Amino acid sequence: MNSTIAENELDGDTVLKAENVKKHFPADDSIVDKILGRSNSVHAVNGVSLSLQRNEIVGVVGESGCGKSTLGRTLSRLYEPTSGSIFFNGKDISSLSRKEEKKLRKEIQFIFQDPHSSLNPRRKIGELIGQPLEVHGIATGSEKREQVKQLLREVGLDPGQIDRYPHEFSGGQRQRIGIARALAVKPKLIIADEPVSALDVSVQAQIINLLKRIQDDHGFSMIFIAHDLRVVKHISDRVFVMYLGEIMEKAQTDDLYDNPQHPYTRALLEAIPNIDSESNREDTILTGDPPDPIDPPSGCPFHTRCPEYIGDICENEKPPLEGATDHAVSCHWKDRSTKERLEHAPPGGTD
Amino acid sequence: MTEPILEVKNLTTSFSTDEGELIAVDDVSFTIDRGEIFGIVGESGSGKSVTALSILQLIDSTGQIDADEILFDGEDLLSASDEEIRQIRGSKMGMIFQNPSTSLNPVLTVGEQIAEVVRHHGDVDESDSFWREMGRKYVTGTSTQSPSWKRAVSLLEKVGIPAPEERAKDYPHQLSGGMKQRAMIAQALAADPELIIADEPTTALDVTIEAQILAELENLREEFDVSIIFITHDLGVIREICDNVTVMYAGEVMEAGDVRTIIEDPWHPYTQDLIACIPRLSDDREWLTVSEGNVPSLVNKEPGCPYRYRCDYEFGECTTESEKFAGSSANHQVKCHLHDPEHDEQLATMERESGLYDSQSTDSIDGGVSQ
Repeated sequence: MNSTIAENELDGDTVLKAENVKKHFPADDSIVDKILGRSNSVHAVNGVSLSLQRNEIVGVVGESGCGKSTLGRTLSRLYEPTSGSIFFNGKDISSLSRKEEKKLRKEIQFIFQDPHSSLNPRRKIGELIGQPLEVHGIATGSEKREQVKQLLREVGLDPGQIDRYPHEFSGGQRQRIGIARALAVKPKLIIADEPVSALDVSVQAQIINLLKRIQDDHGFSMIFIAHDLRVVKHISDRVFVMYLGEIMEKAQTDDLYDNPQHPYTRALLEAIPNIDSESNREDTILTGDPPDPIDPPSGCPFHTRCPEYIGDICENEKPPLEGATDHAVSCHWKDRSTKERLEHAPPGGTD
Repeated sequence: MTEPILEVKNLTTSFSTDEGELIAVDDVSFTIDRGEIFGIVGESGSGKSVTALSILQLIDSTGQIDADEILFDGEDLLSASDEEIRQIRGSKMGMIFQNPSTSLNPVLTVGEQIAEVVRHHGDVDESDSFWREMGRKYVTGTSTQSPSWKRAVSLLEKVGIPAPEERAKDYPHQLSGGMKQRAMIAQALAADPELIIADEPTTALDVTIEAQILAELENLREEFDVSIIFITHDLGVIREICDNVTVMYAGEVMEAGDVRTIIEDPWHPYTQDLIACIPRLSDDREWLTVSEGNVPSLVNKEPGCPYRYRCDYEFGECTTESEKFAGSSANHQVKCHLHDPEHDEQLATMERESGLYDSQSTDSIDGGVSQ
């Protein structure tokens, strides 16, 4: 599908490379389906290819239910992919033994969205951050404690608070604890799944700056998952826009924001509340919800909501993800001009 | 405009805790006109939700509400009996909560939940006695022919839910987040209220769905002629939808005025910082501007400006309580010693030194306040 892009990305040192990864979950079948012997599945991730360079931060953006979290979990092997291959440091990790998996856990760490539910409330933060050090045999005892203090300092917390419990911290501080824990084992790849969406706007900025700074200091790669393009812009080198389990557009960050090609990317950009000017965006708001991933639409998955729908081709044929090496888009009507776009009225069939 | 729908004068809400008295809302006053969308903005822990809950008197038994007056539609809520308050909640004031998944009852269909409100507070001729309600809810279900059900369906349609007859029979888990929030809005509108309190109604939603819900609320304001109190931590959202806004910090009103003034010409350093830290699509800075630190503990609060611990303009006077000073437009008010006319000189010095402020704000590197 996008072999030319994949080949180019192999140059340099690739940390992670995923090819046509799919993750389907079994869905409840109705009685009728059972009698007819059909089985349904949720197409959470539907053929995603991506590669990640050393020290690169890639943003993955999309609405709830687009499969971005599932993608993150599949790439880090918290889920086993249904099909496709994932190479981490040149080694295939699509199927691993338990022992190999444990080793992988040290290399790939996760930062979760909700700092309230991802920290065990009964354990002191020193234990929480120190646990990975012990599990992976990096440090124990007083050495472990020293390292934990150092980590606390690094994420901007007071090392004197090492014996406190998570509930004594605010949301932003708890997210810092989560970051310290991910950082403890010096991973090569961190997957951050909506690390700032549960936080106040003012705290979001603090956490984003912190993630950038420690990435500068330690040098790891990161997949940063979010639904807000504002947040992604400041931290990512490249951005992938996902919809219904597929990549709609991928580009270098500046290029994506200056020159968004996919109607879905544009809709996401226009949805952002703009503080610097009074907007009048009534007519550009994307209507409806994403379709059901159990029964995704034929052709282009976005055609049911697309403001730039052009006709049967969108419904019948899936557009390939193609374009220049570093800016690819999956759309049948790529070469349109702004004028054409603005004047376009979709033929009947969409709303 | 006629008389305002809501007037809150000097509201203070405190809770007694083991460590001492916690003042969650400290001397807050505001007025909301009919048909107005009024924003309350601030970080977590700044007392915005407690302010709203105090109006509805939905405070824990450990809490104490004090105010000179809370006038709603000409009626003083402070002197109203429990029964009168209960009648006002739901019928004259609706509430929309942040998290629709936990605020809707998971074992009842959304139509059932909305129809119940219609029967309790609306003007339909159907019994809402306890046993009839129990029978309807858990045995027979509301008849789809009954006026309350029909009203529920028409409300779902009004808030933009497609195929409302079908969706009314769905349970909350069968709806997406955006649809659930629309159902919550339909429920709040069920008794044709005068005022809706929306507590972070879009914070849990995707940006695309947030835009839809904001547009919907604006349409409903026109259609139902309802006033809305809109609580959020995002000034970007405030700009989209509100007419006037109050900026709260640590339970106090820091600055208040019309949205345009507050956003384009903020006077309080806290408001300036809140605006500066919003990531923008248009800026290419490597580091975001941040205001380090957290909201201070509200237990045994020290006198003076609560923002002084984080404020870049902090000076001697800040340990004493500031008055409210008139700002640049008609109803613009700011509570900060820098804007005391007697301190003009101080302000001038500060502004001259603002270059220093830009480069010294911790962690923000090339940050600074955009003004």
